Amino acid sequence: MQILRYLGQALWYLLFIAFIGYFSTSPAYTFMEPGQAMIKLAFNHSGKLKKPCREFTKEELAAKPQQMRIKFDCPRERSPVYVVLEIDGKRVFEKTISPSGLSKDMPSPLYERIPLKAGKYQLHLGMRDHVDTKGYDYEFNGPITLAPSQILVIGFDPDRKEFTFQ
Amino acid sequence: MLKLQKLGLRLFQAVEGLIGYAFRGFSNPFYSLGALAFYFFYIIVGTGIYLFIFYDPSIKGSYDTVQYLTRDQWYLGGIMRSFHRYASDALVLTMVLHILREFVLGRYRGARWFAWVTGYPALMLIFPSGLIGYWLVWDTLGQFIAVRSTEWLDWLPIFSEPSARNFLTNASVSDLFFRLILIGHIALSVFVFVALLMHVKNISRAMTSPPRNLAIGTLLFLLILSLLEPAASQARADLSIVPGIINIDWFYMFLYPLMDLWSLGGAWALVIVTSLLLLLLPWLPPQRDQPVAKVLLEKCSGCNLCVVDCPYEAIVLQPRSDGHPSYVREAVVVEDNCVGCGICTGACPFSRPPRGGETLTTGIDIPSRDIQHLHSASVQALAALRAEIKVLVYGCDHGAVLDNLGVHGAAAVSLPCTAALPASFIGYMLRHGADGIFLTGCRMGDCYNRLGNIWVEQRLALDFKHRPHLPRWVPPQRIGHYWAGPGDKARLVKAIERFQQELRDFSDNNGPKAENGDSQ
Repeated sequence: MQILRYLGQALWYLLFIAFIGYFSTSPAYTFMEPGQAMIKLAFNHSGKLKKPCREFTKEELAAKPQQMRIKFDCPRERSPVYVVLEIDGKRVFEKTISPSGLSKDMPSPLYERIPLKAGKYQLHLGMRDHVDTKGYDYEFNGPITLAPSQILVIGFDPDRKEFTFQ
Repeated sequence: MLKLQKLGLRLFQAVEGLIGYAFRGFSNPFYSLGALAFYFFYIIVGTGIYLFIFYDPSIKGSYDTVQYLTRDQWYLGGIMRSFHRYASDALVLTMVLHILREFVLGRYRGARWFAWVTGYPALMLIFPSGLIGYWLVWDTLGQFIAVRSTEWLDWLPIFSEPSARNFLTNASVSDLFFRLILIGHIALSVFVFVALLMHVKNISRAMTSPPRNLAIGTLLFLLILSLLEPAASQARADLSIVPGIINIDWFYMFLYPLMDLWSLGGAWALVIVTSLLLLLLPWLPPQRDQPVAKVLLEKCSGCNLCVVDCPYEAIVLQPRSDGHPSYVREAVVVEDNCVGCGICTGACPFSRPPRGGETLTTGIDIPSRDIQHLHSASVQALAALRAEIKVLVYGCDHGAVLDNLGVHGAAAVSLPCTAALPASFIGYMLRHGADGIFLTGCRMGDCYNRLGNIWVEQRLALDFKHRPHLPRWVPPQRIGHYWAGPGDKARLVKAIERFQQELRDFSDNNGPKAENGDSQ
């Protein structure tokens, strides 16, 4: 009887470790099918100031207390950033990103994953960072080649004012 | 909800009954789920300390040192790593089963809300701690978790810029990052331990380690698993490549497929709704005030017996408030902790049957089901019996159902917990016409009130060490007991019938009751 109990215990423990052992690694999860690649559009770009600085009129200055009489009124709010991504002429991403910060005076953050099949593509990227701009302030047109499983990170270099590809 | 609980209870009872053939009493893993969770946590901490000694928190070093432990030092470091991984998985499994089991048993309402609610942070902290543990390996799985977790966090409008941008390229991850997450991993584990301690704060004699045979068996089979299927790293993390097919740990990462299947917001909704449900469950629907124990000061000597037996830290001793000339202390009920089980009444030396016709009172009692009520119910049940051998069955509201017992010559009285029965009542009922007293209640190790059947067995023990104990003159042959869960009625009935037969044999061998000198 005691042996049967020990056998029963062993059976229970075996079931327990089989359950733990299996679900610890299985079944495998397919996050992305083989042959797929990914573009990550990721950058932090500050839109231009929404409104330019303006000189206060004499009347306006006179209405202000003495210590607050600065010459210019410079609104802090920045323009939203508009980004478009077209692949082989097809628009796959389009977004207007509001500036962050309570006063909307911080950069507009962008992080977007775009999965697509590995292969060669014609890429068109456009970005405008001011509300009054017609068309794009920054643009890229060119071919790209994506290997299977590759992640292409598209960023923006504000100093060189161009898109970066890593 | 009640239907769901009943169905779940039936399922648990069936599995536990099956496992109960191999594991007796507290050794049944289902009766020690909380203790097992603690045990797995100890294993995680112990093995984690060993891994920490070798771990190099840097981009290259993290993967290399874990690989060194897994391959070159497989006989110790590899086993430690496997223990660390599998004990973490087992911790989640036992915690989830523990929660489900307490839910189907209804042990989360009233005074139990504190243990239920404080269990939530422990559960919620274990997941980020475990996930960060996977980051530390910095293989493709760690990479996947890091990127997906930050993308998931970024869904909440709390960051001014997406935190997932920290994992854009290999160059964007620094050695400092690994030091930070290592500290986070350790800090979260400390918080888990604090949460676990809070969880058992109001529980006296909390089982924070499983019975020895269960502990040894679990450790042995974890070792077997570690040798057969050692925990291994996947390929080194490379942020320029997207992990396609990944062997995820489903105990910790079940949310990640849901993020893709539903959406990031959908996964958040699941977490938030589940959390709210778990946290509000003790009050859904609102419950009427539960009866709590009351102390009758003129019958309380401050003997401490109720304090010792209370499973919920619901009674404390304080200096006497009535200026009693002989007694220094008095029992005081902490109402927030009291579940109204009545075990204190069973422990009180003043819970004696009446001498003469006075109203029966005791030192500590549950007002709605007081000792006078127990006395009346016992006397009535016994008076209704018309049989040669009369057996009075005492059981509890949570074990096998005692209504319509269906045993000729046996009548049942149900208590909130069988340990609410004062031992002196057994002798009293035997003196007043019962041929035998049969005690039942929840399965051993599975008492609804944690320690009830342990106290009953100790009070019945013939070493008379536990106070209060059975009157010494009571022949042990006239007392029977069988612990039976809600689904065990048929077995209980058989046990009572067997006991009746034993009583007949005992009477045949020892002559009529009057000759034993134990009947009046």
